[in-house]
Amino acid sequence: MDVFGTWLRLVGVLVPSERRHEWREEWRAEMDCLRREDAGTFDRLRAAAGALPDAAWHFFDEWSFDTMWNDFTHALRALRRRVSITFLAVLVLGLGLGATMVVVSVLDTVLLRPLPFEEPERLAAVWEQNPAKGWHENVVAPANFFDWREQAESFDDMAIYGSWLADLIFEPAGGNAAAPRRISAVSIGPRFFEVLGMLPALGRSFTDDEMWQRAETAVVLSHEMWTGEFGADPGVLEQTVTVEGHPRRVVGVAAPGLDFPYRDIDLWMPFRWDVGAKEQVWFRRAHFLRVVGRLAPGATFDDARAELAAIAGRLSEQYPETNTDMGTGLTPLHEWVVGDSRQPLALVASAVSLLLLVACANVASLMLLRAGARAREMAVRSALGAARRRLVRLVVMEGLLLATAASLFGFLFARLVLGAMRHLPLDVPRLDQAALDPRTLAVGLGVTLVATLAFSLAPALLGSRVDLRASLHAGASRHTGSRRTVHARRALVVAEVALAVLLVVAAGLFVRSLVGLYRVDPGFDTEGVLTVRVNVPGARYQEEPQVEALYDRIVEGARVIPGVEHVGQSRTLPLGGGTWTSDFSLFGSDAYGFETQHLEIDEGYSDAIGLRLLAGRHVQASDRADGESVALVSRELVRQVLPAAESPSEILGHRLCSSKQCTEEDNPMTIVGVVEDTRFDGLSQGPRPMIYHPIRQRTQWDRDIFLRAASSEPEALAALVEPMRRVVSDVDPGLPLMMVRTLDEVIEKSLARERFLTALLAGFGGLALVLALVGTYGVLATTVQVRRRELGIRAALGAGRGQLETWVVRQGLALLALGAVLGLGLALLAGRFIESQLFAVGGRDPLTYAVAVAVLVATGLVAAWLPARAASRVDPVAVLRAD
Amino acid sequence: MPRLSYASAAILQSIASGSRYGFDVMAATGLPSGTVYPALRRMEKYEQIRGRWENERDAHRAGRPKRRYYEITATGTEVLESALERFHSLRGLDLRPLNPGPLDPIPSES
Repeated sequence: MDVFGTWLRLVGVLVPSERRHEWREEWRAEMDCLRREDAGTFDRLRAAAGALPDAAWHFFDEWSFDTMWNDFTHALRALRRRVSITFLAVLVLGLGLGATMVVVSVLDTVLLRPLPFEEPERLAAVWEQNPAKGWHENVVAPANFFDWREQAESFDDMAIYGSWLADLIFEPAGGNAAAPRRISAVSIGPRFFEVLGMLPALGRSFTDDEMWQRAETAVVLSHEMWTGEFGADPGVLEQTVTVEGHPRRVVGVAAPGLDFPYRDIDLWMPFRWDVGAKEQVWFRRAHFLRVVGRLAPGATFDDARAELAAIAGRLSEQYPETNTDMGTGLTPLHEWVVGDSRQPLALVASAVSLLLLVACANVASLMLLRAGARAREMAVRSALGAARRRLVRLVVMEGLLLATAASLFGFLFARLVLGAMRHLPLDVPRLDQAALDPRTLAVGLGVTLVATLAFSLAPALLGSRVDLRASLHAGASRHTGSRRTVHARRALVVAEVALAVLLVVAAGLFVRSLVGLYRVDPGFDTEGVLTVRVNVPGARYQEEPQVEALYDRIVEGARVIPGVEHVGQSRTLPLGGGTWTSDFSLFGSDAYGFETQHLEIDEGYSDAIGLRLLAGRHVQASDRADGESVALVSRELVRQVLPAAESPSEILGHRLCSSKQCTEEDNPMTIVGVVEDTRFDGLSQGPRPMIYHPIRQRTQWDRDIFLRAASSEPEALAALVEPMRRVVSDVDPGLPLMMVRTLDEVIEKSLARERFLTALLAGFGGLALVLALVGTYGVLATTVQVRRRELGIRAALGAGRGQLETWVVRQGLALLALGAVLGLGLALLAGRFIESQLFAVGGRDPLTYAVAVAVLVATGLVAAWLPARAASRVDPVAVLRAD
Repeated sequence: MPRLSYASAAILQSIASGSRYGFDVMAATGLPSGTVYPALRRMEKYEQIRGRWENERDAHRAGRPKRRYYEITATGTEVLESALERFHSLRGLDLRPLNPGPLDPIPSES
């Protein structure tokens, strides 16, 4: 087979016919010459490839402005003649394209774009790990951090930061009448901004003096706060602000757009420790810091890992009590920031690609439909003298117009979606920065152009070998051209159905997963509970008894609010991640290696949230600081330390300690009650051991107060907010209420990501299904038209209307069946990859697959309805007479 | 005076140095056919080069199809000169054809 000859013939279509012969001769001669010179096949291929740009040059050279305008008006008329198809093609392609642009933009911004720091590839997050305890990427103890920083030579410098502090009471001008408001903050160590590589816009970072309390406490404002509250006044430095009742000096303003480590930070505060803390055990035992480090020039991540491991080894020998089995690890910072989002984003990107493929198949089918219907028109034009090239040019122009319209539509759609996404409460980093930049637009436009031209040209090139005689023959039906294209369109529909099934199955799996999550029993009541956060400023309340008295008065006032049944307090909300973890052990037992969470609660807590008691007693008001140390434990804790116990009550009376061993020196607590497990960390996590401490034995300055209402109606709960505000301000006018939420809202928020993914996939699946439906309908309608004679004959031979309808439905179901088999096969393969995102349902869940098939059958029936009716109405006399 | 791009100037220089066929220019300049051919067409359109067919009989005697060859015109020489003033490096480049064909292509009858 003469590959090159065929290639030249194919490409030569673009060259004007009057030049075509010579053009082909020239190229043939050159290719022949290459052959004689024994040029390699690859070289010959590369040389032959140039024929395409050359032919394209000739193609466009012929296009003077006049002919282009002519083609333009013709194309516009042609598109207007079949408005419905044009509109549909623009809509489908535009939607598919818009969705793709959105996903590309999000992927680019969230995953691909480098962090906005100087030389971000040299930054890493450093963490501790303890494989023996299953700790991984763990927070760091301060003493360990200081040793790393001092000893590690592969790092230029390291800096620390803490967790996100919400709802700090803040007053812009020290002592002035400005009303206090709540802000978010984070504590950072010295030279944090320098290590990160994003220097403050104004002023400086914190110094060592400020950390070791050798200098007055300073704060750094965020850029947004500086421009918002302080009007970007450069004189803000050295001004005083009040934080939690304490005056602080402003020493700097952070760079704009700094969203590491958290978004929407208003204030940066320094860690402050007593110099003597360095010698104390807690400094090496309490883990609560995050560390970011900058590699020294020339050092690699592997070098750093090895060096840190060596340092950790030395530390575990020097400090066996705290550092045994404690290792280190590091993650490049970019990976650290985006890693968590990678899988869900990959999932969404795949789904969108599938949707785009379905859209493309749909548009291709539409184009084929047009080509088939226009075969006659093309035949007439050709008979009237239009060069084949002119026909191709017309088709290309139509394609360009379609592509432009589809791009415009897709662009508008993408902008809409991106704008809406900014308001979504998702914790995907940098999502709000996703925008349509020129690169995405160029990609989108390019894809549209290529896709549309391919869909327009292919049928034109294939079908424009116009068989004049066949098309114009008196006996030829209108649909001769359509006949040839129906096969291609059937294949396209099968592909569409397969992809749609894949998406529908994926959506179904996520729906089941979400339903499963909602069904999880969190272990506490979620209806009818209002939560209110109160932060008590340490400056004005310095002693425990003051704090206790304050909260006593608040709870007393809350109890008498009409509609309130129970009032409880705890240190933190469920599903907020605010519990702390430690080892624990039973008094007098050798068993070790247990880990538990801790929560401080009061005597009203169990009634307020419905914490079920399994044995012993609840926390009581009499459990005070001067009394015996007591605690409640969860069922899972009992299961772990007393696996052989038949009843939870067997643990009552035992004593336990929050450390690896339990002796009198370790402050043992007596277990006085066992409560049901709660899903405190997340609905998809299994139950974990929990120790509940009476809050009067471990006073907390900041607490969540739970109000259980007599009725679970939202209005009833909303009605409690104002009275509660008044109760708190009556007790202390300077204490604002923070974070008023119902427990229902807390649960909903914890499921926000799952809900979003599910909704998205369901949307994609639905869209794909609609497209497949439209495609199937189109093919069936054409089939009925094309095979009218056969239907007429059947009717003449006695087939009833029902039988004709069944014939059509069978045609449709055959297509769907093939597509379904393909799609289900793909789904079985793909199911494995999304299993990690699912809860309690496997990738091959039979129920979901069965439902998908049922949905598909229903779709097929709907698609076949109209064509079936048309088939049943075929008049045999009319059809046979037209012969 | 139309301004040549660097690639077009190199192609023109190659033809001025003796490359006759499109593929000669490719071999001499190292540019791909997708660049060379459209440039040749453009230069031919603006009469900076002249394209002619070999004598068919001579080609057949040599047992190969006739090829199209290109020569630089007076206009082309002017344009090339002004381009070489901008692209000094091109002056020194040896862009002669690697395998020179027959010394004097016999002009065809067309």
